[in-house]
Amino acid sequence: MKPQILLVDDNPREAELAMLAFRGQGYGDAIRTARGVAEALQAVAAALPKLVLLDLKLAGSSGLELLARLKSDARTQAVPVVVMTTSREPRDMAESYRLGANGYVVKPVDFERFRDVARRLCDYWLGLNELPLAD
Amino acid sequence: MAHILVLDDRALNREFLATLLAYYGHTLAEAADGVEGLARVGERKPDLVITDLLMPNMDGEEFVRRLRADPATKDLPVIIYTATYRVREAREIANRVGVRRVLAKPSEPKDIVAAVAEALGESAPAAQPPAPGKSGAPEREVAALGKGVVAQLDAVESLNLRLAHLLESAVQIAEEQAKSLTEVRALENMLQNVQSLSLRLTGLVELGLDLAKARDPRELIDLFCRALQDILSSHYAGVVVIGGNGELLRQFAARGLDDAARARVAREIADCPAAKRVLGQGGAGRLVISLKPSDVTGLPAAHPPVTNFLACPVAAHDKAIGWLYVADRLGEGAFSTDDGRIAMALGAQFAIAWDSLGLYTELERLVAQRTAELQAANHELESFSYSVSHDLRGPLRAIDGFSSIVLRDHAAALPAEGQRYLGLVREGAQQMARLIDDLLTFAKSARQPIARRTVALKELVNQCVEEFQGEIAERKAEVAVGNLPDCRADAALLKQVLVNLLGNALKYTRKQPRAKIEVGCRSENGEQAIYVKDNGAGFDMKHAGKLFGVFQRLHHKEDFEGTGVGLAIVQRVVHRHGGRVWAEAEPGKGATFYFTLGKDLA
Repeated sequence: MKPQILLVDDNPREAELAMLAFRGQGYGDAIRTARGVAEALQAVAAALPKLVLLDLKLAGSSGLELLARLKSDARTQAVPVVVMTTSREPRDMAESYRLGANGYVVKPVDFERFRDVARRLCDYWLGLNELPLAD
Repeated sequence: MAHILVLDDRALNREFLATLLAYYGHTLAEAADGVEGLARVGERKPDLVITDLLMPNMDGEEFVRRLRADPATKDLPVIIYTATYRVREAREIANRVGVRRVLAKPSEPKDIVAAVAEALGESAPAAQPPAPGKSGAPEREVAALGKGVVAQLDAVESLNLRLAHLLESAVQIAEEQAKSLTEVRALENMLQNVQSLSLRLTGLVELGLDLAKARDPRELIDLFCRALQDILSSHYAGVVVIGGNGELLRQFAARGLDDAARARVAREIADCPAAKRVLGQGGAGRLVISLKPSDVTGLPAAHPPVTNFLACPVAAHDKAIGWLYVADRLGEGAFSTDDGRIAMALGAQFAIAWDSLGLYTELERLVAQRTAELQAANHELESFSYSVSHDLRGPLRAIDGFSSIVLRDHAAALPAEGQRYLGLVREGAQQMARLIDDLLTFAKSARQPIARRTVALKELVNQCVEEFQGEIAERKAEVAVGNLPDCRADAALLKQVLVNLLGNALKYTRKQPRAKIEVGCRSENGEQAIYVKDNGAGFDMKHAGKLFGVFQRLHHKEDFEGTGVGLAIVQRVVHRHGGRVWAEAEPGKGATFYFTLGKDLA
């Protein structure tokens, strides 16, 4: 399957866990990961993903910076970006939406619930994009 | 209407005139002395000037002299408004500088208004003040306003007023009956003496109020110096105080001296020989009164020549903190021993005010320091809990996630016991995650500002019950919500309280075949208390003291799960609303939790 989801997370363990959660939904092969802003921008330029899952805390820079760049670039601003983070801080949530995030998900500690989150994200964002788009 | 400039060194007096005249539609400018007055005239030429005579920096006489010297202002109408006992002196000054009107202070509002109208060349005062929407008798209203402004001085002021009228009518009667000029003068003198005493009393009361209000050492000294000049009716006054850090603070007040000359005197006054005479050699100091010019020695070279002089230490409780002097008593006569006693008493009063100001300043410094420390700690706590929310959850997710994968995908490779242990690992991780969430909520409940709004309490309770609807329906629990008043509270925090209490009630009734929970309101010592009552496990009241502590649990974790933070949050939120929280319970017979929200409930 062609990669459809770009997961941006600098923590390999977190990325692996997310892969495992999405694999349970049959999307494991559809995910590719980027470990930082530069890598993510490269991946997006190579092929537009159908969904970007973005951690806010990236080594050396902030996920918010990447979010702002994706949403201010005419070529990438239509790609849905869902912030996926452990932070419940209202200011992180508000700032994400202000910069144009399409969703904000707090990653639950309970892995079963995380799988559930993964399933609903795929159903919603990937299913939605299958709909015929108007001009 | 006219633009009027008011000069008076007492803000209270300016305020009174400004309020009164503004009421009649005039625009007002204010100045505390002649120097300021000239600046105001330069900014905008007034149609009329009302000036006091005795003011710091530049007195009324010098001020009017300068107005008259300038072609642009030489014809400006001026009213001298001055204390009654100085009226004769004031008339002489008025004649010297070409002022026709002298008004005795204090005067009735109607007299002031009439004098202003006359000076402005109006035949009669505006019959009705043009201020729209104001009904009733303006005169009376303004008079009441004037009384309000000087409320603290009321008794003394009215005494002054009565004396002024007495003096006026006495002079009139004497003149009508064609008594000799000496008799009239004697009578006038006597009354003026009484009045001077009464004005001195006014000054004393005012000084007391001013000293209590001053928050800055220099302001305090300045106020005191001017009060000395006023109360002891003298041309010059000086004060030197040794500050806590050895710094010398000094002030010198004089009539008719320019700034440079005053500054020169103030500089030299700290350790001139006169000071050494007053303070002696390390002793408590003494009173010095010099009645003849030849007796006055030891003043700074820059000081204007002086004919009589009074000096004493500024001391309270036998501890001198500086010295003060006054020189050249106004009018006839020199300083008396009575003046000396007053000066000593004033010095003591000042020394005490100085002491309390020191304490006050120290207190303020401490408060500022503590506030800064608290803010730093708060900031630290905030960034700490921010990283807690990020960094602690991550490893927990890995523990739970990978354990879960092992259980799901590699169960075959693991004996049953190993699977159970992994299940316990997951339980531990999830419990830890809940604990982190609760602690963060607890930390936030302390620093989030409280936003009080009117809350429909019954509505809010119903919402909270709704959140537990799944469990309530499943367990067929009975939840009754009674009549609840509206209250003023932070809705989000109050909801947290209700959710925690309801959650507890549900949790501790889990072993009952039929859970009964009741939310209601009742009167407790005149306060409205909200309660949540259950028929659950209850507890022994001897443990009630531990109930609201963080991580305090009265039941075994195996019986009832939880983090031990919920009731701590409840207590903190209630306390931050100014309310109380307490519980009544009996083991096996259920518990009732009560809370109030301070005076703002209902």
